[in-house]
Amino acid sequence: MKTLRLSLRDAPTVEAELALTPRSVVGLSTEEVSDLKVMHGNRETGLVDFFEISGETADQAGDQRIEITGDLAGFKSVGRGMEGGEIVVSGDAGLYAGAEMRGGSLVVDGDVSNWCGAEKAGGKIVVKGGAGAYLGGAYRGSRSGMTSGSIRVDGSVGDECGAWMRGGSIRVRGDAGRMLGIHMDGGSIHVEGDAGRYAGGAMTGGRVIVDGAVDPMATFRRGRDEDVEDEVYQRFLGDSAEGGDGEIMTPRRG
Amino acid sequence: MELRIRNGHVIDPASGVNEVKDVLVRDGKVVDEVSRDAEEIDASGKLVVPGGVCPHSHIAGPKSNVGRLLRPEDGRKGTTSAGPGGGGGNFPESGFSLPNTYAIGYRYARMGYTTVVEPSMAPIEARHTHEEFNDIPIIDKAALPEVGNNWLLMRYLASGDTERAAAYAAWLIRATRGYGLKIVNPCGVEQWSQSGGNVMDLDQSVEPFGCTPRKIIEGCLELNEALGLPHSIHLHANNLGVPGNVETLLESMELASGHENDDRAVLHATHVQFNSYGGDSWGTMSSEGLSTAEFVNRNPNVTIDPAVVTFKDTTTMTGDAPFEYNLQKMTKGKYVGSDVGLEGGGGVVPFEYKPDNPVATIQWATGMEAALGVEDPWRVFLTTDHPNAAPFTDYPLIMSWLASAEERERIVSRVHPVVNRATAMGTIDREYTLEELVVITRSAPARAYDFEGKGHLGTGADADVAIYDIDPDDTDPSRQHQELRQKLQVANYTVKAGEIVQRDGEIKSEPLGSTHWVDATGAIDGHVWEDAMSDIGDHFQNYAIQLENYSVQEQYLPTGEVREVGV
Repeated sequence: MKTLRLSLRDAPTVEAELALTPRSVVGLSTEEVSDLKVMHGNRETGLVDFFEISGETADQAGDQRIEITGDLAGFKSVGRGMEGGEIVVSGDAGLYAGAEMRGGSLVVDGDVSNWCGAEKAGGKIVVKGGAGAYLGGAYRGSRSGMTSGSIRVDGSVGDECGAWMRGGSIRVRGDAGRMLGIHMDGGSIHVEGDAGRYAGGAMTGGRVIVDGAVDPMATFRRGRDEDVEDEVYQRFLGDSAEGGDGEIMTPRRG
Repeated sequence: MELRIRNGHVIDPASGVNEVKDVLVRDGKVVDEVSRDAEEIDASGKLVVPGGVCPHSHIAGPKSNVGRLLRPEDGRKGTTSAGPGGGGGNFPESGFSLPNTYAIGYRYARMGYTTVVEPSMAPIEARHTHEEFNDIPIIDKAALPEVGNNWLLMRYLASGDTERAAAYAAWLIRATRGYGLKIVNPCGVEQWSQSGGNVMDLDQSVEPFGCTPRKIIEGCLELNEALGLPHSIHLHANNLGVPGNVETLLESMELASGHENDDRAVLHATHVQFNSYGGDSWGTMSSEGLSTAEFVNRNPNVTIDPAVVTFKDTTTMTGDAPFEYNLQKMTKGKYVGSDVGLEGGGGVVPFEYKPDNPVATIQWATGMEAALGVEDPWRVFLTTDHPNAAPFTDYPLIMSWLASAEERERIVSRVHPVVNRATAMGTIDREYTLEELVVITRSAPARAYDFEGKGHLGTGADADVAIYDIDPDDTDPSRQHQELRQKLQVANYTVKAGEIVQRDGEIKSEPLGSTHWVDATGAIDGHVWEDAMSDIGDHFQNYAIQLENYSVQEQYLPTGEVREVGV
């Protein structure tokens, strides 16, 4: 594994598009990496305009690790579409972090914004802070959110986490916002904290587990309880408004 | 500015030309001579034809915009950036079945098309349609106002008052800056607006008008010729999309008998693929594309376009509101339906034609049979009813199918096996020649609309020219269908009004293109005109908009070209 290091020197003044993946740097010299295009608002700039760059590049994406230090909240698309290798961000990341990812791993020490892992089809995302809306979800109009791979968020997540999810797994250590797993059809979401209103709305398949408080809608029918890791979980099946066959599970209390 | 397109193989069926020769251009027109300073394009070994003329494609108006809003996922397909390295144009492109306005112009130009007709303009929404036209670069445009469910017209035609109906139609075409008359599911849309139903046959009356589809079609046939409009009536027949509907289509086309025009057909039945089904349920549905084609073969006063399905994830949009209402009940997905007060309605539903689906397979066969079954290529025009059966960018694909029985056989072997039982695809070996493909994509539709300068390259023609890297003397379309498709997809050069607008896929220049419209009010006698104007004044008490705000003002047509008839 070869490591390329980027250290943020100048933060963007408006959102910038960081189209940087392990594949995009393989076989490049440090100078060539410096010249990689970054759209900064309406300006075409280079990676070197924002970062100090050092380290080495590998011959194939799977052997490439990219370590980025600094607050990347102003950069969109960190690790978007990556197919292999590793990206580690010691700080926050902006919109679309790890979206459309197909393989490899993305680790963000801080928070991520909306659409993290949206429509991803493989790979692993670990967010040590919190996440915005549409984590692992589908873009507007699309009928398929994430289809495989995993996402772990140590903090809380925003609305529509796992929207239109078709496969893979999401684990959230904190709370989830409204419409958790809306239109979900496959895969699993486990929220250790509370879930907001309309959890599992319009879901047709897959499983939503909420360890904290959740208020399944009237369109879910009560199923048989199930033991999970020595704890008894209540099961709610639905969403019957969509003829659905999904599950919401939450520990039986008292 | 002068241009010499040197030494190309020119196929210009309207002028009887199929030979190697030069095409000379000055000031946007084809001429007999140019000076030595003329810019030159070496077209040796290439095919030179008139710019394409698309007779039926939903490119502008509220439906297109609603579709874009409804389907952001479609908008994310086909995106390019502006300028060199992108599509070459001044603006970025987006969309597949619902391209943005710029992409519509660019993509038609890349295929060598230079004129497109929007066939379905709700009159009250005409201003919007023209504003979108002004955003679509390169191509010439025209639009047909819809009249099949228009309250005032229904009243006139129910009582047989064709004279005042003609006056109103002439007024409406002028007010909307339209080009001719479109009839969509006559009376059916009004019936749906009232009660949620539809009309099922030509003699079902819609109240309180006492009007029937038959009266609308017959009345419009008569008034269309009385006005001397350049285009025939343009009919989207009743019962669209329903098994067994070929009976309705044949009965509707039959109404054309007894009406004559020396220069063109009197009735154009559009997207007949959607109207040529046999059977009486989805299970017994079959293709009757050949029945429709055979009717056309026997009746020279009728033309058709097929609307060929290409098995894509596309978007349906039509003024046939009840059809879309029923379709969304099947798709259970996104849907927008609308009632256009006093004039009709419409709807938009995303739809994917899957090759393993029996209905989609039959639909594919129906369109292909209709196109292959019409013997005279001058009476069938290539369409996909964009974006209903497929995006217009699939024209080259369909042309390759029409030219190659071998390729069709391959598709027959890959689609749903119902193709063997319910269609005639296995029995048709006709293959279109290059010249016939030129006819159905430019010469014939140009003649059908009487676009005088289009569809040919004779002296005085508009210098709209497409040059493809195809050598007719050294190309076997039947065998080289794949190559043919690729080369038709991106012309070497597209010339619009004498200017090179596109080269090998890159947009070079983007003039706005003209909007063609018709003023036939000169054909109306003074007293009939006054009576009709008085009726229109009264009728506008029902509208939510005042009469003086209804007509599209001249400033909405910065490149308008009026065709005056009946003066």
